[in-house]
Amino acid sequence: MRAHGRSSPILTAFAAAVIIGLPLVALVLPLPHDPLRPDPDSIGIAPNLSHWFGTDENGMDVFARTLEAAKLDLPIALAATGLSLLVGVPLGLFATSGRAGEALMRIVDAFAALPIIVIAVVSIQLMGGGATDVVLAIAIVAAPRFVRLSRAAAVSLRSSRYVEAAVAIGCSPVRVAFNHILRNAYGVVLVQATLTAASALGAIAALNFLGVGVRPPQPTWGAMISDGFSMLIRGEWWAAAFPTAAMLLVIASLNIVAGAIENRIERVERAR
Amino acid sequence: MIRYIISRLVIAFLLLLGLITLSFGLVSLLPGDPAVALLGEYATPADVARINAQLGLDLPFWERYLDYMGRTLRGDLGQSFFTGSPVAAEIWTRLPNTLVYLVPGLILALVIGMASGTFAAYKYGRFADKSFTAGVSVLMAMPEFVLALLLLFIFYQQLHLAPAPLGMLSSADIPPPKVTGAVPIDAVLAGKWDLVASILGRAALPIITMGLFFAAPFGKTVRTGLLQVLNSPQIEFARACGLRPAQVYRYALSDVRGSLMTYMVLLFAASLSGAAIIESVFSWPGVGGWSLDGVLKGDVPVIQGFVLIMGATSLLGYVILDALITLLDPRTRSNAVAGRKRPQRPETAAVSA
Repeated sequence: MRAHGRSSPILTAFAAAVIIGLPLVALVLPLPHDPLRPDPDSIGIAPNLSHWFGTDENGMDVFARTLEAAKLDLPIALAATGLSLLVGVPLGLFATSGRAGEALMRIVDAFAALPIIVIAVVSIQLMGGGATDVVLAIAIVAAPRFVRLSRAAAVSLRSSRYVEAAVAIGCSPVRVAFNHILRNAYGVVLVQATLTAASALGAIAALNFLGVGVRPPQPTWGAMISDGFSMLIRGEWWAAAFPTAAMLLVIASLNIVAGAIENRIERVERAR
Repeated sequence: MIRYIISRLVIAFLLLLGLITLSFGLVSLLPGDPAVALLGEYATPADVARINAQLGLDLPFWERYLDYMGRTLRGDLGQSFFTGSPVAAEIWTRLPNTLVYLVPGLILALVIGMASGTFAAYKYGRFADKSFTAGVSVLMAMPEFVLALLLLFIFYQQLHLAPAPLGMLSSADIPPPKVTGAVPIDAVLAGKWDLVASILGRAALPIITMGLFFAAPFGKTVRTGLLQVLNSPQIEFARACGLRPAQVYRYALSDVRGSLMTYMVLLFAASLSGAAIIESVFSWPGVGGWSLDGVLKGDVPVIQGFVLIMGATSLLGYVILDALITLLDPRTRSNAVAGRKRPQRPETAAVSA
């Protein structure tokens, strides 16, 4: 998003703190309750001093599960983003010319016409339904964005003087692509990667909400929201609300950081 | 003109063939054995072989491919592995249920997006614009199912305005006499307006969910597009000539029309995939939830049929879009009518100034 004006530094610092802090807290903090142990004596308890976020329908502690879910959701989102970067960026950098490049772009276009969630669900189910399959499916869906973005960068920078100079002194195409073009376009790629991580979190949660790629009783935010749905309808909001809040907090933080990076790039470019 | 539309249709047909190939390949080339999925983990090899023969899965790859292509083009999408009912018939009876909330939802999204995006562009940099941008950021950070749950919690649980998310008909509703098999159409045909009203009442929250979810990106596109045009020389000229604001707006809109229409078709394609989520939240008996069920069970013909129908619908959307854009733009219209190739849009947008 092209935000006008400067992004607030306090907000950006807070967002960065969430992105760095939440995984650390999830890894380091000793959980007050076992996130996987159902307790038949404490089913559907509202938040109190012992159960900070209350308990769900199986009597499991929502606070412990929300943090435990971060250990699964965040690495999957990160891995999916990394994989789509690794696949999409080189493809885009080299797809600038020739028949193969044209064909690749038509395939990328065709992806936009397909029902994405359905494709993801189909491929996860056919591959078996584990966490690695979720990573693959999200990467398949996200990679075309990086192809399009890095191709656009390559096309616009190809005619620049320094790329011409690099070609003239005999740099290999690989060196031109990565050392000269990508290095001058990594900002936009970084912004897109941050935004992709945010939308990947939402997509993972949507898939888990639909019951795809989850291994109960291991908690994920999407699966927890799905479990808490029936309680929410009865008015017992906490089992669904806290994992939702955690997920939205991370997604919003990633979006804010992406906006801040974009602002910074714009300022640097204007200063030139 | 007719020649132009025919050439578009030919391209669409070729893409359709590609789509059929994709839906065939998607399921055939990936691992996973439908016979095992059907019979369970403990099936004997003889049972697996029998099921494979019954489903035609023991034939060579090319034979299966050509057979599939032929059947699909004749409109036969096969039978569900589990229920045995024809996939094409299932889709036709469920599609109206999905369209009942999908079409009004998208229209709502267009109206909200258009109005708020225009308002924000005219109030650029002021409070209304800033709150619009903030609202769009919040909405776009929210996955569709979260929005649906939030609306359910507010309007059903807290305010008791909306009905429970228990499907399209309540147990008290008497289904209309069966004519087409699709309940909303049958209800209209039988003239049961109270039933139609009840269906629409239950569709209200899905419609609002769709409307809000897609209004955010659309409104953002409207705002960005209008901002660029409103600062252009031709709009300055139009204003200097003393045209009324409504006329100026009309001219500004005609410049961003093409990109907005392209975006609408993209939204339409995305809404089809969002249908699976909406229907699972609201227990809605449409194509989305049904196909999701098929996917989770590994029902291959259902998966193929759904991918095919959704892809073909998006394709049709793109063909209609292309034709409309060409017809609405005088620069391309004359060329299209003469049957020549459509020229690239000129780089400078400020032609009229």
